[in-house]
Parts: sequence; structure tokens; C-alpha cells
Amino acid sequence: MIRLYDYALSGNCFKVRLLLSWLDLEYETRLVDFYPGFEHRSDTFRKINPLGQLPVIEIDGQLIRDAQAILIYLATTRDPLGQWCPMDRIGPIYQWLAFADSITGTISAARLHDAMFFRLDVDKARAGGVQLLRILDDHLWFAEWAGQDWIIAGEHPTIADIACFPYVALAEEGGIDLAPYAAIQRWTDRFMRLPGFAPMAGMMPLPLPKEART
Amino acid sequence: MSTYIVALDREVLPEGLVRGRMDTAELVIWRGASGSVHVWEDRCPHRSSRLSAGRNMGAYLEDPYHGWRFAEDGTVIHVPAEGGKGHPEISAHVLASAVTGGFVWASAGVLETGDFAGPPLRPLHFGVSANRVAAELDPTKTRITPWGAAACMVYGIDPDAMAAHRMLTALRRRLEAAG
Repeated sequence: MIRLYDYALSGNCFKVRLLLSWLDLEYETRLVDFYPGFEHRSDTFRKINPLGQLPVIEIDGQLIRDAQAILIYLATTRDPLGQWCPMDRIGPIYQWLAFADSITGTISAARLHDAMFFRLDVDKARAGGVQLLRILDDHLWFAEWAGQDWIIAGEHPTIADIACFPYVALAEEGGIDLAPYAAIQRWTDRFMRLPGFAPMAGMMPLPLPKEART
Repeated sequence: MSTYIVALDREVLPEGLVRGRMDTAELVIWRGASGSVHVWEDRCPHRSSRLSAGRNMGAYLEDPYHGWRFAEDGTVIHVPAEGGKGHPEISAHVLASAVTGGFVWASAGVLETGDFAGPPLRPLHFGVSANRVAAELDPTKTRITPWGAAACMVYGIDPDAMAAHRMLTALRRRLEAAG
């Protein structure tokens, strides 16, 4: 049985839950009280992850930490169709997974400051987040121009979309206005309308009833 | 009252809601089932919730907070808390708008779209005032929409879209670094 060390309000945990659900994998959850309990910094949890970070997954007799590493592991060992991590586009996928990690260091940090009262330089975090949103919005705008819906060219979304999505969608919880990024908004709309998408707190996908579809 | 570009026509999708800005007003821009594009202030007349957080149902826009429904002309056609009663005397704040040259134009006063058409550039958000950007650009190829006092959105036309986009991005870096 797969075991996920999980926290409901973590975007990094959410991305792993999303892929587990899209791959139709059964798993059990160990809830870690990230806030206000700071259980991820406890001696007990540091035996599971010395970095004191979530998520961690226990799978195939090993512990894997880091959301992006977990996405790669699941997509390469549990997706027989290879849709979520197409190996012929592995370079761009790694590039955007690293980008997602930068999103955690900026946009997610601003959200931790505003929503969970973490002490950090929030102006710096927001400014860094804006630079990343501009790069992502640029990329998605020109991708749309070329007829592409997702971060990585192809019919099917990939773990690059899953990795970048949560903290971008939650950016306004960190005081970053998403209005300037129209291509990002169209991408998050498409992403939230994927079959089987289930939101986490702070996301409002408001599915369109059938009668509204054209 | 000036007329501004608030969106690219082709980016106002049938099931989407586009957020925009014009001077100090926040906007929601949407395409109804009729095919027409509507530009409204992004505030529900009921409790001021952001209409752009609601949904575009084609025949109407639904407010996310209490589910009020607004017809394409802006009037309230359905209030769930009153058993679905309509309120034709209540309306979203509708701005004068038109679609020409591939752009959506809007004005808080009289609409004057002028002559501006061509292959559209990627709209670019600048973190400096409209006046500072306007001083650097060719007015025959660009239109600038103020987003509050300290930011703006630049819309452009140019046959060489990539070169023009790179030029605008470099200009943005320079102006923002100068503070």
C-alpha cells in the first residue's frame, strides 16, 4: 500500500493527491499537522524527512520526498500509457518541474506569510513570483498561438502542468494579483475542467453544467 | 472619458471570464451565447463580490456569492434567495464597448474606437505608469490602457510579432529597473 504524508492545505501535497487520483491508485494518508502544529519540524517527522518538508511518499519499500520527485516516480512507474511523463519530452518536463520548485520558493512563500503567518520577506517573495508568472504566461500565450493547451506540447497534460498548477492557482492567497496573466487564467480554467479534477480549499472551479456547454 | 482596449477579441472565450482593468475600474469581460462581448465593472451590485470569480453560462453570468444571474444586457434575471425572481430594475455596471480590428474596446463615457487594426502582439503588463510607457512607443502601433496609477497594459500591432514582443519586453525591463 502506498502511504502519503499529507497536509490538506499544502499545494505540494495536493499535486501528489491529484496524480494519485488520476492514476487511479489506492493509498493511505498520514496527516501531518503543518499549521498550526508545525509537526513537520518535529524530531519524529524529521526521521521521515530530514528537511522537515511535505509531502513524503512511502512506496515500493522506500521513502521518497519532494513533490516533483514523487510526481516523476509515480508517472514513470504507475502510468502504463506514459501520458503524464512522456520520455520523448523529458528535457522540457524537468525544466518545468524545476520551475515549479521556484514557484514554491516565491508564490507559495508569500501565501505562507499571508495565510499562515510565516516570517519571511514577503515583498521579495511576491516580486519573485511575478517574474515567474510573467515567464509562464508568456510561455502559455505562445503555446496557445501554436495550438497547444498545455505547458508541454502534446494532446495530454503532463506532470509539468500538475507541478506548476497549485500555487499559481492559489497566488491571490499570497497577495499576488492574477488579473495581468490572461493566458495563465485560460490554462487554469482548462486544467480545472479536466475530467476527475477535484479542487483543494481556495480553488473555485465552478464546473459548467451541461446545458451551458456549446 | 477615454476609450481603451481591454482585451483581444479572440481571447474572450465562450465559456470563460476575462479580467481586465481601465484606469481605476476593475472589469469582467465575457462573451455571451449571442456571440456578443460584454464589458462590465467586476462588482456584483448586491454585495460587490467579484463577478469574474463566477461563471459564464452563455445566456447569463452567475455571481459566485449568492448566485444572482445577469442577462447579457446586464439586468438581474434570477435571484435564488427569492425563488428565482428577476429584478429588471437592477443591473451590473455595463460599460460602452465594441469589437473592432481584433480588439475589445470599452469606455466609461462615449466610445471612440478609432482606426487601429493589424496582427496583434501579445498584450504586455508593465509595472510603470501609462504615461511613462507612452513616451517610449509609437502611437500608431500601440495602445496603452492604464491599470491603476502605477501600471498599464500595452496592446500592439506589428507584422513582426516576435521582434516587437522582444522589444517591448526589453523596454519593460528597462523602465521597471529605473523605478
